[in-house]
Amino acid sequence: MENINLRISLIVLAILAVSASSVFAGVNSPYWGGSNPNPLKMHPGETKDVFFNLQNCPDLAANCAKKDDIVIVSLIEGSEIAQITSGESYTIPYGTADKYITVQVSVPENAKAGDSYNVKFSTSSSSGGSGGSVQLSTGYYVDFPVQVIAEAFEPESTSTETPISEKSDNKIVLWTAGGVFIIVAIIIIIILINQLSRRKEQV
Amino acid sequence: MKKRVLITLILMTAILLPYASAGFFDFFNKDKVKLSQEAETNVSVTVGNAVPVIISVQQVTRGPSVGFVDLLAGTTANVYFNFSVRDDNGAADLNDASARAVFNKSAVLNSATGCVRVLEAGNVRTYQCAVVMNYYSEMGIWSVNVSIRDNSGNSAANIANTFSVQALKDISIAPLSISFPTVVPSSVTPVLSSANTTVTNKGNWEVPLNGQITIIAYDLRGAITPSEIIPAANFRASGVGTVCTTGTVLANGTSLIINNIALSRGAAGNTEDVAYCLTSVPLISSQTYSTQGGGSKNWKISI
Repeated sequence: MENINLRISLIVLAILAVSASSVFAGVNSPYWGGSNPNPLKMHPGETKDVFFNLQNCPDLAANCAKKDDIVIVSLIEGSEIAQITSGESYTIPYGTADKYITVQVSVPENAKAGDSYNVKFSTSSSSGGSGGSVQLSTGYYVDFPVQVIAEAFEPESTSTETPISEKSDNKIVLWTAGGVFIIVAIIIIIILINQLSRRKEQV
Repeated sequence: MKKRVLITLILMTAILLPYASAGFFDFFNKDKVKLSQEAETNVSVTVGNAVPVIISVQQVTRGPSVGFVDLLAGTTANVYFNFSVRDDNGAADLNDASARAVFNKSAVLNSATGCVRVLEAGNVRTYQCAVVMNYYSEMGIWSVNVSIRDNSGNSAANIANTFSVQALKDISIAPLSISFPTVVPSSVTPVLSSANTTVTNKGNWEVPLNGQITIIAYDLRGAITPSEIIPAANFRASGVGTVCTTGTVLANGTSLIINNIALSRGAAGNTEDVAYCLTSVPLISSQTYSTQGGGSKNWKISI
């Protein structure tokens, strides 16, 4: 009996929540790290806004929480080049996939080609289980490298190849101009000859 | 006088003739025509069927900008491409039913179920093709192949376009809470949680074994006396197996990789279980300890 009194209840009941499951707001990332990375490539001095899509059960599946989710975003790494400009808190309505986190990345002017940075932020769902001794929730880490690349070479004069249709148009213009020139020349010659003959007749 | 006019006219004719009749002087070109072999011949010109030409291909935004595709967690997403085709025989010569788009990556082909004509202007028609992408479609660069035939069977194709499928991280967990059997103070007998947590991958992000499925645990606090705790470090978590001996030892408020678990993408085989073990109980009073106690937080599973 004494032993029973000393027992610690860790709540055996998992209540109804145990049988439920949930998908919390997920995130799409255009760049990623890992074993097969897809880095964001930028030039020294360049600034770029990168968008990360947030979604809350767009499949409307039976196991969804079927409620709006509040997502908190925190920058973990890369604050020297990145900042979250769209805010820390996002309400993601159930069944939607049209909210975006905006991360502005600015590579310093003095960065060199070959330099690299890492940007990492986390998203945490405010939703979670109820009942049981341990409630669970989910979150995501978005982690991507930023590679500094050399400025693209832009020649002062670029070669512009004339399209075929323009070439043929030019030819027609040349022929027409040539023809008109010759006709005018002939008319002038005729007029001169006539004038010369009249003068001779007068003489 | 008449003589001069006549000379002038002859001169004019000689000068203007090459313009008025192109190729007149070719008659004297010995390389092309042999005067000694004159003969009558029939001249006929057959104007053949013009092959259609794809003049532009354009992605209709499915994401924050053209070139990127956001997938939808746990379901399919339609990705739209428009392409314009010119047929010099007239737009009516294009076979609408043959218009198609195929996305390709790593030998995986996703084809449009059908393309719809959305515009016609002169000899040009524009089609819109919807290709279904699954939530587990591989992230990275996909190539786009659009094609069409005319009514004579001549085809036009364009394979120059690509787009990038983004990395989609989305998991569901079930159940949303875990419980442990009743234990006694100072117990050193490990106990397993009464249920595992099933993690389902609803995106295309794969986690290799011992990769980045992480857990942040927090101390469990007493419902009556919150200052009394069961430390997070008294718990272990791992893939199903010998969790009580090889599972990751948890730590209060610290993100740790869960041992012995990987997460694949796909319509099947995309679920994994996480098991928990309470390895020992400190000498504490008898009450309910949970993450709902003051100062504690939900445990968080992340990828």
